[in-house]
Amino acid sequence: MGFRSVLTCFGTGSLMVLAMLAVAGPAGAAGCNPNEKSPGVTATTVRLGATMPLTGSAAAGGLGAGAGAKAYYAMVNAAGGVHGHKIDFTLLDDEYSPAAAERQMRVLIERDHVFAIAGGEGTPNFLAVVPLIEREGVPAIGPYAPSSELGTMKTPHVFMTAVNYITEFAIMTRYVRESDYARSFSLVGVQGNVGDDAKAGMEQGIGNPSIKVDYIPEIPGTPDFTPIATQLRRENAEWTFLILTNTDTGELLEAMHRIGYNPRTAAWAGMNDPGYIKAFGPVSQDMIVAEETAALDSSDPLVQQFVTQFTKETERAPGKFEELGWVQAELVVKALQDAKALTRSCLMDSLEQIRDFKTGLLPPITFGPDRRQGVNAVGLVQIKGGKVVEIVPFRALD
Amino acid sequence: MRLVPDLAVPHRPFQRAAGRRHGALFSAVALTAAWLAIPVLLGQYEVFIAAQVMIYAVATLGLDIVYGRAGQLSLAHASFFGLGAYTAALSGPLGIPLWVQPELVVLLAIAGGIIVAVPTLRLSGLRLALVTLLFGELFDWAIDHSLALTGGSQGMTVAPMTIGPFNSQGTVDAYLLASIIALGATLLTRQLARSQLGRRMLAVRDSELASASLGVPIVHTKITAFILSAVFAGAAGWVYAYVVGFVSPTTFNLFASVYFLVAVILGGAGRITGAWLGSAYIVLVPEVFNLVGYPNLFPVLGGGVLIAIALFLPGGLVEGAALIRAQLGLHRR
Amino acid sequence: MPAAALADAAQVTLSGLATGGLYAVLMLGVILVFQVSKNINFAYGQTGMVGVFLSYFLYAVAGIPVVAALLAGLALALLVASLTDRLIIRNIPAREGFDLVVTLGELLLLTSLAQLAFGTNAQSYLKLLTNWTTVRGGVFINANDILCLLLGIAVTLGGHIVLTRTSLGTSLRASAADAAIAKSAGINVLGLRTAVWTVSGLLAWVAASLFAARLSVNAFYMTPIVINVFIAGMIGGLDRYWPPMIAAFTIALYQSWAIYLFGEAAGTPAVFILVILLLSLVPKRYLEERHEARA
Repeated sequence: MGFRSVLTCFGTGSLMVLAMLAVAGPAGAAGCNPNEKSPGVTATTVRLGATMPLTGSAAAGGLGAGAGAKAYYAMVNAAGGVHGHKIDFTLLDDEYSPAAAERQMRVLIERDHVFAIAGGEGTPNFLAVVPLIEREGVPAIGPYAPSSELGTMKTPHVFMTAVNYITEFAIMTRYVRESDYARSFSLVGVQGNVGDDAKAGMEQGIGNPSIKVDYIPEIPGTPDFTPIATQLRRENAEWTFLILTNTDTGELLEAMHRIGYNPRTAAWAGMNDPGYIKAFGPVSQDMIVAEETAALDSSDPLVQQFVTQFTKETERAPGKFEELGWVQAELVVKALQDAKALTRSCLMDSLEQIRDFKTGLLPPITFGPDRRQGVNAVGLVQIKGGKVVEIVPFRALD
Repeated sequence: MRLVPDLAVPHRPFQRAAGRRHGALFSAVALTAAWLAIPVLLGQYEVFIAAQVMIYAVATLGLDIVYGRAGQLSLAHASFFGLGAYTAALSGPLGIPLWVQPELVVLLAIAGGIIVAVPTLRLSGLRLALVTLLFGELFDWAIDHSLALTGGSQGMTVAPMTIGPFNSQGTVDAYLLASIIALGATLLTRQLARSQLGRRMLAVRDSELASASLGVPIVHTKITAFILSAVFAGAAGWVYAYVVGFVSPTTFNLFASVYFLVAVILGGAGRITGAWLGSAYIVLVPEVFNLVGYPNLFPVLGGGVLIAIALFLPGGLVEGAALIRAQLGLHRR
Repeated sequence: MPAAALADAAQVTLSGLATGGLYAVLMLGVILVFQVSKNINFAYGQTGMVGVFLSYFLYAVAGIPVVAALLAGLALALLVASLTDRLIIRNIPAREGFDLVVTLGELLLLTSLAQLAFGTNAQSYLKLLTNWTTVRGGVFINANDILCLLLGIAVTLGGHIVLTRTSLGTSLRASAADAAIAKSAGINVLGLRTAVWTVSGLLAWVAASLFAARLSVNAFYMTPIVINVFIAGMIGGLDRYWPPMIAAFTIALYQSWAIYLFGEAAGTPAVFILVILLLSLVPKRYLEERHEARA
């Protein structure tokens, strides 16, 4: 209770958002119009913007992704920019709060008149700005905002590269079923559509209606996880899946450990993070974690190229969030380069033409005139010692 | 020698009164000019921010009534603001016609004010603060747990209020709507300050015991203060939702209530100008920090300012300005 | 009742009482401060948080030996607590609620400064016996749980003995009842007051350290905890001793059971219903803050 809404406001759904969007504006791009007047483009620059959490409990993600995107744009600008236009990237702090995100998105669209929204980090904060983006008709490219509410033609201006939690948990659960013959599952998830999506994904992955998922919704900011741990122990499932903030995941595992309940565990991609493993590695051994972006020590030459280029740009080694920001920027630049002209309709058209775009950092990206979910695959890793080991490369749900 | 002062003295009050009238006239003209200039001279976003200042001023005036004037510390104020905002947000999906909504907001705010006021009548100090805080928490909890209706912590979009060509999410229209309610709230508060009720509130704030011995109906006064405060906040929230077009619980949480308190104390409790200055602070200063690229320094400043003002300038900026004026006057003399 | 259900019940009760023990440690600090200076410190939890966060930073990031890091963290907590009294509380204008307002400002300040200085990630703290567990009748008894519970009981009894059986306690009570008379009787009222604030810093640091071991350290973790302690104080009355201390244990137990039985969503309304019921049912004289200086 108390300040928990500040600690995190991990998402819950809003049918209202979609209802609004249905009446909000034209769906889909009506083809490239090179003569259209689009804001944010001058003779020498193209202005892009994003909001990410730069302060507060989720700041690590925004700071990292922001640094990754800035490094990529710096590299592109140093090489002459896109079609002779330097990229002018504005990153604003949304505090991971829907209200702050909405305010900052107004700043980007109404005050700074950005050409497009380039990336983003966090689901609840991004979902809050989708109505504004759709109302204003601004293309939004590759935000990291996993949600089953995005990635369809209901939000035609938003081009998603983040796999939603239904798909992520379905892939993870299917792997566990196939490899471990597991028969009983529990799930602790942040109350709302994040938890609900994960549960739906698990049920899809299990593929057997007679096997139920014991679902315990959680609200961040509890002073004692023992009651939830005891509830889990009472259910005594072989596998416990977790979709909580990193802090709550670690604290719940500590509490489970204290009361002697040590099931096998699996968690969403957030735990694939050195900060988490450093803090809670000992209680997270062998945990299976979804992998949305490629491992930084992957032998893929594209990944190695990213590590080298990022290190050269910033004189420090990248982390997973930096990788995320970098690949968001890479997709944006690809779309700008392929656009027949720097107008919003031509940018949308260019995005719709992207097929099987290989970045190495994400699974190959494909959009289309009726396709806004560019990626449908995740890999799986396992926490071993102080690092993660890849157990399944990127794979899609067939 | 005596003749000069004797002749001079009777004239001075008239001169002062005339000076005050001129001052008031000058202020009115300057404010009107500034009000007209904002949408003409400033950009779309800046006008939106000006509208926000006015909306927050209405809510701050509300907290000023219950805390600044009646002395009841409320940490649930942002919840009343939220009550109004969610009334606007839910009116669309629930099919509540526009003309019913203002009455509904007022009724809900009155009910909310009574619900918070009655259990807290016997309380003061920490108990009062915590019970109001718990009410605020319960509001947050209710929003979080009515997913299907409110979108929970995700928030929900609010369809604009449209009357003919008027659209509440249009920049100038929003500015106008905010201006109307801000003007109304300011005039009402000015009237309240001059009324018997306003004086009763001050008496209750200064000493319940003395007020009771003078026959001031303490319970009635406190409940009225809570209700008025809730109605102001509810009305402000209702306009806020229509202007911003999006509501989510973080706008109405405990921190938001604390910031309203910051606004009242910073501006100067019990003063209309103070509420306006406080509102300008909580809306504009974060924008300034944002503009210079250090948004995370605002909470540090917010905490520091709250401490500094409470310790060194308990009457807030208004008192500070009066002190400066007095100093200047002294020097002139 | 089947054995497994009994074991679960014992588990929830034990963890609730352990949390309650730490609430009691915090509560003693709140009561002592209230009794000598009639003030509430909303930044109380953050006093412990900054100390613990500093300790973490020193041993985990700067590589300083753990004992030195702990002492530095403790020193910071004591310093913040005593400065809160000397620089802030003593200078507050006599106006309703200004102590709450000023310490809310301090809460905001300490939270944001901690974020700036130590970062925004949650960090795993020292184990402090959380990794020692033994099983009795299906109940996992964790040494940290027992430590917290015993500490809570010891602090509760110790506080009572100091307040009622020692000359220090007499001086404290005399200062609380009438500072002017106590001063004329030769008691160093201001010195005593600062000492009490410093002790409250110690208690906050102890509780914050143990909570950090049970949870993790970040800039926010003590805030919901301290709100629960204030609620217990509100229920018990800060001008009394036993009722708030017992309320500290009870409220933690009550919340643990509410969450276990009805899920975490039940936590907030459960406390709310308890408070409203108590406020409606207890006699008015119980709610009068007898020693509260404000009119």
